[in-house]
Amino acid sequence: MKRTHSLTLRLFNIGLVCLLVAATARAAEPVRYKARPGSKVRIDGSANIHDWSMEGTIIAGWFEVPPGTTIDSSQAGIGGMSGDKLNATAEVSIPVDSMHSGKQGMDDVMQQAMDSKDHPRIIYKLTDMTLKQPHTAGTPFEFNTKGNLSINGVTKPVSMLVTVENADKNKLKIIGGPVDINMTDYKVPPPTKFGLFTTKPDVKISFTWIVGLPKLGPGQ
Amino acid sequence: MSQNEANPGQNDFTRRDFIRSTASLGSLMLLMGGTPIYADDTPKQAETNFVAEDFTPVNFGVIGCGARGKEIIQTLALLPGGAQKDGTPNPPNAPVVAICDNYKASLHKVQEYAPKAQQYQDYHKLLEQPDVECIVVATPSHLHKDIVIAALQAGKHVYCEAPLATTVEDALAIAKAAKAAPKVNFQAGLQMRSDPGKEFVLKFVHTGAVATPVMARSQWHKRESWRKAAPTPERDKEINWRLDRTTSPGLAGEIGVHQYDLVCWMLGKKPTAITGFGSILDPSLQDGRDVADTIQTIMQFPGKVNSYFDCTLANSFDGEYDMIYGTGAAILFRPESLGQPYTPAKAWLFEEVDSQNFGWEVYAAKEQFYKEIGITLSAGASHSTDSKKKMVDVPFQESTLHYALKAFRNNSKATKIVAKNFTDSYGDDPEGLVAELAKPENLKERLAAAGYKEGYEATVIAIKANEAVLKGEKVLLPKEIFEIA
Repeated sequence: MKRTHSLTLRLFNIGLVCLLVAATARAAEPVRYKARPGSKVRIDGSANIHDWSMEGTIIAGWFEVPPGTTIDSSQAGIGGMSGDKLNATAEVSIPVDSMHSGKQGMDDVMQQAMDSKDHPRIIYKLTDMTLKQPHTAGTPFEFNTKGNLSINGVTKPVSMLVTVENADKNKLKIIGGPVDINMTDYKVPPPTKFGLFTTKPDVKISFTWIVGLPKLGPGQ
Repeated sequence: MSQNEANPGQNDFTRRDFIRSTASLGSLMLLMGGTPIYADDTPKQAETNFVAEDFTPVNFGVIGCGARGKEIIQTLALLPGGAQKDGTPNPPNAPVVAICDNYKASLHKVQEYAPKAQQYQDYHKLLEQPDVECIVVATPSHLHKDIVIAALQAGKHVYCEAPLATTVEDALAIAKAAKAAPKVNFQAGLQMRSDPGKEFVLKFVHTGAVATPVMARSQWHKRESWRKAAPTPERDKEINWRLDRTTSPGLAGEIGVHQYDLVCWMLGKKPTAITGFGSILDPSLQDGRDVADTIQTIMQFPGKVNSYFDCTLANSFDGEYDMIYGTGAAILFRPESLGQPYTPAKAWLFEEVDSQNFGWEVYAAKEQFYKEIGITLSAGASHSTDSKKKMVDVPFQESTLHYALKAFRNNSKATKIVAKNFTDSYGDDPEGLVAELAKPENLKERLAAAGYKEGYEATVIAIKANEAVLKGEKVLLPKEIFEIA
């Protein structure tokens, strides 16, 4: 009887140690937010006759912050963050054929110009994220960011202002841009029509990206 | 079965034509003060629309190669393929790469229109062909269910001819399967829903052009037997399924389904009851069939508005039309206007003298009636000019089947792109995908078409109308019957 009790206690202790190790390991893992539906991306351009725009609603990818970091815009600071630099990484991808202007011809031309067959996605990789100014609880965090933007297979560094705020309990709303882009830098020829309608190479990209923590199972 | 609104012809309306055709419906309408309502034929494209449309081919398979299947294959072969910048025509953008019929002779009859298509007698085999993206189901209506569900489960986009089925249970099974498969596009063969002309006019109706609707009326008159020659008794039973109550939803189901749907669409309501009558009255059609050759039905809508429909195979007088009557005006839809056999569907507005004058009406009168004034003046002249041509130019010249299949092709491609991008980005989330597809940005990419909901509702109405005809009494349509749980 005593031996049985001792064995049970030993097994309990082993289990407890395993749980603690697992919890520690989990806490040591980066916090990864994954893309969720509800996003929006917009490209605004101009031309010699009138302005044009394209919109999309799909932004894939992930946003990752160091272990123990908690981002909650209702709080003054970011838990686990020291100084004004957030060691975050992110990879964002936007399917080129999900962008629509409302005019099929324009969509086709832009997809051709961006070589959507060989480069089906616009890709952005975050390399630097620094708080622009001290944060006031209840307002979005404001960050100056740097990253690399790939369009049409051409990658260029870009900087932009990004705000981060709570979307709901487990989701963040990340708003970026407008980022000024020159299409010719990415070897995207500005579309023209019969030489009469000519788009200008400068465009602005802005987005609202929804990301969320992995869905927890029942009871968690 | 579809309604025959095919291949409109051109009109060049001169004074001589006018005098010659004063007995024609079109002239009669003008004399009666009807205002023709045209959809805008100017392509809805601004300068940025560099290419007319996306012509990337989408491969089709057609299951059921009887008369209707043949018409579908022919229409698919004519969907515009566009042209290169140098004017070189592209191949058709809806190539039929597979055809299926359990009767080999039917395959032989259509193979000239789809010479490269793989031929099957078993639809399961066709569904295994990997390059087939879109399926058109044109088999007898009572055979739709298993084929449609198998096609959806195989990940194919499905166009199912109307009615979807001959029983409410089968129609519901199809609707549920389509609802459960948001990654693929399902379209019901209610082709009038894709007719740009009707869509345009319905905006007038829905914005109060007729004021308070008081009743609607539809008819379909055509002298034909519905019987097809067959080499054997077994084939006779297969091919003449429309003449047997056990397999046929009757005139109400095969013909009425389109017109019931149009009236419901116009009124924006679903009926609460339907009463029917029908008999075999033509002595030449008393050939062993037990399906009525002449029927009348009355749909009752909320608000005590009724819609009358009569349909006969015994007499062709006055063909086919649909009308909605309101306190301010009546609107007539008619395919064979101006006395031409294949003119596209047009609509005519007949205003009451005491009708309210809305803002849009003033605008429409200037825009639309401008042409009609021109016609009258030109008819008073004795020469033909370009301006006269413009006056009677018909904006939409293709059959409603053409527009329906074009919409199916377009919407299937749009659904595929959204579904792929969404799933690649967010994982498998059917509810999220449904919400994504319903976003305005994505809806803008779609052409007007009937989905599973419209198809199911119209099919239920048609089946119940046939039931009313068979019983000769009123059949109630509780709102629960339209629910797709």
